[in-house]
Amino acid sequence: MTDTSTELALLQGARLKGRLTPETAAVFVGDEGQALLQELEARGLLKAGAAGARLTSEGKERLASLLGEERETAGVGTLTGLYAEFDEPNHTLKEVVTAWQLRPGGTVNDHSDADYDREVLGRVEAVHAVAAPLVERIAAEVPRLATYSRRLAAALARLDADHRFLANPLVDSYHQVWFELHEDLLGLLGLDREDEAKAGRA
Amino acid sequence: MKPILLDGSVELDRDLVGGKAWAVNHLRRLGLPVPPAFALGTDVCRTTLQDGALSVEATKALDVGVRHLQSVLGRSFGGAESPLFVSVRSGAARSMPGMMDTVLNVGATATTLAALAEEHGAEVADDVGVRFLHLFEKVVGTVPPEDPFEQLLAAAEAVFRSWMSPRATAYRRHHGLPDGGGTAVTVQAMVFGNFDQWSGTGVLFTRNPLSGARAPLGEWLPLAQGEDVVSGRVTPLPLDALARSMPEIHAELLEAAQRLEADARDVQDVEFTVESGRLWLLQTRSAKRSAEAAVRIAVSMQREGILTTSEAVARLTPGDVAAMLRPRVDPAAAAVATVVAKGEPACPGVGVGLVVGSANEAEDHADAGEDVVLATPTTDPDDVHGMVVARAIVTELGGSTSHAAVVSRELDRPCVVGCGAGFLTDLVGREVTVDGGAGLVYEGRLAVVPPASGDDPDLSLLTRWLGVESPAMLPAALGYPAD
Repeated sequence: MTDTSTELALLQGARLKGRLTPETAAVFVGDEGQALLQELEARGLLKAGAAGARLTSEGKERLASLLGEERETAGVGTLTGLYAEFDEPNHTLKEVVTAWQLRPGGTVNDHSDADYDREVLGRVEAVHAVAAPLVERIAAEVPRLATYSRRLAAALARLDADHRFLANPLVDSYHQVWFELHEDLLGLLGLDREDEAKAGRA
Repeated sequence: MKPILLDGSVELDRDLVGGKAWAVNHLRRLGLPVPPAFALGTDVCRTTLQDGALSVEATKALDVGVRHLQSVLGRSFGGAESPLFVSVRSGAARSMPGMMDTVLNVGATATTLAALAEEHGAEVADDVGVRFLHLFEKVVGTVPPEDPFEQLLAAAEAVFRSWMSPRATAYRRHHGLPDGGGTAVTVQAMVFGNFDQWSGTGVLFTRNPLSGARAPLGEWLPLAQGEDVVSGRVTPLPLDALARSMPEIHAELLEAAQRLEADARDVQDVEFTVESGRLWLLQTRSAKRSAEAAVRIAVSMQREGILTTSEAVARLTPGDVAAMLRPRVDPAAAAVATVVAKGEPACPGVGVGLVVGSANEAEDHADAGEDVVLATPTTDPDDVHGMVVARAIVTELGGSTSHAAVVSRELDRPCVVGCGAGFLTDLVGREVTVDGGAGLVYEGRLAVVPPASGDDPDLSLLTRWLGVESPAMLPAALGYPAD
C-alpha cells in the first residue's frame, strides 16, 4: 500500500494533468508510477481511458480530503507571504513566454532570428535564478511541492536542445510546471483562479 | 471682410479655412461636384470669442455668402419657392473629429417647410423640420428664431463658441494642441436624397475593401437621406441598382471616384447624394480595408505606377501579410455575420465548431467526431486535454499572456481571451466561428478561405522587393526592415 503523501502526489498529478499516463505518473512519483497508477485504479480513485487515467468522483473526494489535511499542517501565514513574492517572477515568466511566441507587434515568432531567440531564452534563465530559491522556500513549508524544484530545473536543462520545454503543455515544460505550481499555491491558500485572473495574476 | 468662397478658383490656406473647407475647395479644384459652400476663417473665430459676439463685418460676410449660394443654385434662403437650406459646420486646421458642433437644415421656417412640402411632399418637409429643431436646440441652446438669417447668425456663433467647449478643450489638451487656433465655419448648401425617384444616397469604395480587387464596390439607397444609412431604416441596394436606374449618374460617379483615388493615391471611401438627378459628393476619405485588401491594393498600386516600391511596402504591416498566410474567415461572410463575442486576440487562425463549457465536454464531443470550441471563464492546467481537442479556445478573463493564451499558441489553436465576465455562458450549445487574429467570435459556421499559396503573385513580388526567400518570411521582414 502506498503512503498517503505518494497517494496525494499522484491524485493531485491526475487533477493537474487532467489525464495521467504511466509516463506522467513517473513525473510525480518516480519509477513506480505505473504500478501505483494501477493500484489507484483498482481502488476506484482513478478510471483508465484512451488518453490516460482520470479522477473518478471518489478520487476527487479522496484528493480533497488529503489536500485538506496537508493544508492544516502547512504554514499558511508564511505561504501567503511567499505567494506575494511569487507574483513578480510569475508575471515576468508569462511575458518571456509570450515574447518567445510573439514578436513585438504581435506577429508569430517564426524562430528565424537566432539572436532574438537566444535573448529570450536568456531571460528564462534570469527568471529561474529568482524562482529557484523561492520554490525551495515554498517546499520547506509544503514538502510535496519539492518536486517542482526538480521539475523546473529539468525543464530548463532540456530547453536549449528542445524548445518545447519552454511552454508546450504536452511535455513537462517550464511554463507547464510553473503553472501547476501556481495552481497548487492557489489551492493551498484557498484562492480562486477567476479572482486571480481578474487581478491579472492568472 | 468677405466670405471665403470654396469654389476651387484658388488653393486655400488650411490654417485659415480649416480642414473641412479646405477639402471642399480641393474637390472643386479637381472639377468634382460638391455642394456649393463658403467659409468664415479661423481669424473670425478668434475675434468672435474675444468680442463675445459676431462682428458687424462677419454678419455682412455671411449675408454675402448666402447670396452667392442662392445665385449658384437658383434657390432662395427663406423663400416660398425652391427654398435653400444650409449646414453650418466646424472645421479646425487640425482635425478634431466629433469635438465641435454642426447645425443642419438651417433656413427651416414655416414658409420654407411649406414650400418643401408642396414641392417634395409632407414627409420630406417634416423630416427636415424635426431634424433642424432638434439639432439647433441642442447646439445653440434656444428655440430657433423664425427669421432664417437670424438662425444662420446664431448657428455660426454657436459653432465658433464650440471651439472652447469643455470637450474640445479637453481633446486639445490631451493631444497637445494649442487653444489659440480657432475653428472656421463652413456654410454649405444642403442636398437631399429623399426628394423624388431620381434621388438617393450611397457610399462607394473605389476598390473592393475586402478582397482588394480593382473594382468599385458600393451601396445605393434610393429615396433616402445620409442618416438613413446609419439608422438602418432602409436596406441598401448594390451599386448596380444605380447603374440601372440612372446610368449617366453611375458613370459620372465612377469617373469622379477614379479622380479622387488618383488624387489621394489611395483607395477612397466616398459618400454621395443624388438630388433630383444631380450627383453631389459629400465626403471622401481613405478606406478601411481587410488585411488581404491592404496587401493586394499596395502591390497593385505599385504595378499601376501610382506608388513607388518603398511607398507600397510602407503601407503594409507584418500582420497584414501574416493574415494572408493563414486560413481566414471569408471577408464577405464576415461582413454580414453577427459578432457574438469580442476579446483580445491571443492566437491567430480560424476555428469553427459547437461551443462547450468544459474540457471534459470538449473531449466527449470530440471523441464523437464533432468540432468543438472550448469557452470557459479561464483555463486551468487540467483543461489542457480539452484545449488539445478543441478547434478554438475562448475565455472570459485574462490577457494575451494568460495561461489560455500561452497554451493556445503552443498548441496552435485559434484563441480569443478576455471577452468579459459572463459573456460566454450564452454561447454554450451554439455553433460559432472564432477569428483568433481579429479577436472576434461570429455566430454560425462561416466560410473559411485557405491561406494564400506560396506562388501567389502579389506575395512573390513582395518577397523579391524585400529580398527574402519565401512568403513565410515576409512578416518578419516587414517588422524588422534592414537598416
